Amino acid sequence: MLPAVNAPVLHNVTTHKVTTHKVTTHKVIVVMHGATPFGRKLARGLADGGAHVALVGSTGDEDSVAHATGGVGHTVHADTRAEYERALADVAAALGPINAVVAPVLPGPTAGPAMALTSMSEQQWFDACEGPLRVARNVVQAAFGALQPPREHGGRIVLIASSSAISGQAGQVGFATAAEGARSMTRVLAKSWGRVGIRLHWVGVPTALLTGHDEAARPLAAWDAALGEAPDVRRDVAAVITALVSAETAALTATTTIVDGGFLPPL
Amino acid sequence: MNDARPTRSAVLPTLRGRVVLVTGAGQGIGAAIAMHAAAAEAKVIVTARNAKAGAAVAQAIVDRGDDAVAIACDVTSRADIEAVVNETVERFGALHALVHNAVSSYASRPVPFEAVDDANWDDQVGVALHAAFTCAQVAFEPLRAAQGTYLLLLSTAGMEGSQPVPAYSSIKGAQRAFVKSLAREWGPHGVRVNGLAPLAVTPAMADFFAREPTAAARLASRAALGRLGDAETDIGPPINFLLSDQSRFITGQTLVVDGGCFLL
Repeated sequence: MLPAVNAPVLHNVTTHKVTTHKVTTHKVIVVMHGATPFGRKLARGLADGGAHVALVGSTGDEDSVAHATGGVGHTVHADTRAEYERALADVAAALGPINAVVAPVLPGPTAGPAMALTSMSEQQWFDACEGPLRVARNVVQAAFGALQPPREHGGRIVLIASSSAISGQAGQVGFATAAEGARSMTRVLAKSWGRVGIRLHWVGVPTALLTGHDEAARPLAAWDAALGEAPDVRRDVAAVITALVSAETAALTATTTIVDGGFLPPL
Repeated sequence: MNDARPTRSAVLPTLRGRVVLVTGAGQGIGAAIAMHAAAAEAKVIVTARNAKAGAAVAQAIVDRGDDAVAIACDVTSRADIEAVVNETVERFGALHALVHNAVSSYASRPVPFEAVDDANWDDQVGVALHAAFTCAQVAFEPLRAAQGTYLLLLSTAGMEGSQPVPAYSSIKGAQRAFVKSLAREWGPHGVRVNGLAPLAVTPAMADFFAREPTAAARLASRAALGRLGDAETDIGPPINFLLSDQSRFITGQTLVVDGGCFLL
């Protein structure tokens, strides 16, 4: 039995004032999967920071959701490199040269929140691991061309994935594997693409945030996180992304940043 | 394989009576793993897509007085994996360890990431990730019955990031989290899951060095020990350690065996 916990007061995100420095004013930032629950919150947070935000994704709601952030939306009809290249070209035509592409690594529709590997179907494994990693690859490849020629202070690619990549998580073998693959991708490409002005970063967040189940992240964070609360996507995750795509961090690349309230996993 | 290979008497019999299945064991590090496990008195199932290559390795083991059989297996085929695991259990009564070492033929081909196509990506994912998943699903019950261990051969490229092979680096990096998460999942069942990231001269690496003549010396100069590893004499012993009871309290870890190149 767990000992009693003096649970900290959790912030209500609907009443929490967002105070974000306007360090990305006029930057064009593309949020992939932008009309998903995670993408919407992230896009709003980036818009709070002053960025022109474009939403790209496959829900079909990208355009309508984008209006809420004052940006543009583009729906892709397949998770292929060519589709993402077309989407980024359309964004650039509408908003001007793209400064950053931000892509959450999200599980596909059949991947459950927690599932023993031995009970997974082939499709569930694909949706948890190989599919998300493939999408990440297609997005990153498309972003390579979209960030040429080199931008002032450098173009950015930021992949946001489950922090279970670092610590491992029972029931999330596939998703953690995809997340760590994405992290490795940013690290190796930072070396070769740094010379063409592209910085890459990886940001780890609790899996529940990525799947839109923010409430599920709260009890565990209240118990175990150093800060006593789970991060809020619009307030906290967006602030970190805003910093990573700003001119102030032009000297950084290949970083791993974990935004989870401080579970302090080994690196 | 190294001509100066250790004699059987020089290898501790830490795997006596264990049944060890090695994928991708037709050459290189896989063959070395099979040889050294057999030298530690394991019964070794040498699997390889190339049946002749696997048979040659098994014969070499038998010629040394050790115990091995070869079974052809393409790790991208679930049917093949099921067949080899079932045959292993039927023939030897148990499966104590599965070593997933097989690697895609695309792995060592230098291709800029922006030029990596679906065929390249899918083949590497198929061998490194999908096969790791399939091997785990198929082998879980026998490994649980034996309180055994599942070992994946990772790569320092997945940690440090090897520029010439960015797709390989990404996909091998992914395997690290597979190891950690599956270790957490299987720990309560008494099955250990670990990774080992070797840096040793293999046929694939020799091909790479042939194309990049200065690479071998450059890489060796980065190693604290000043040389590249030998597949059997340098990689074999730590593999045997991770397969044996000597490491019974180690799970979810990736052991880097690279002579001190990366010091992660």
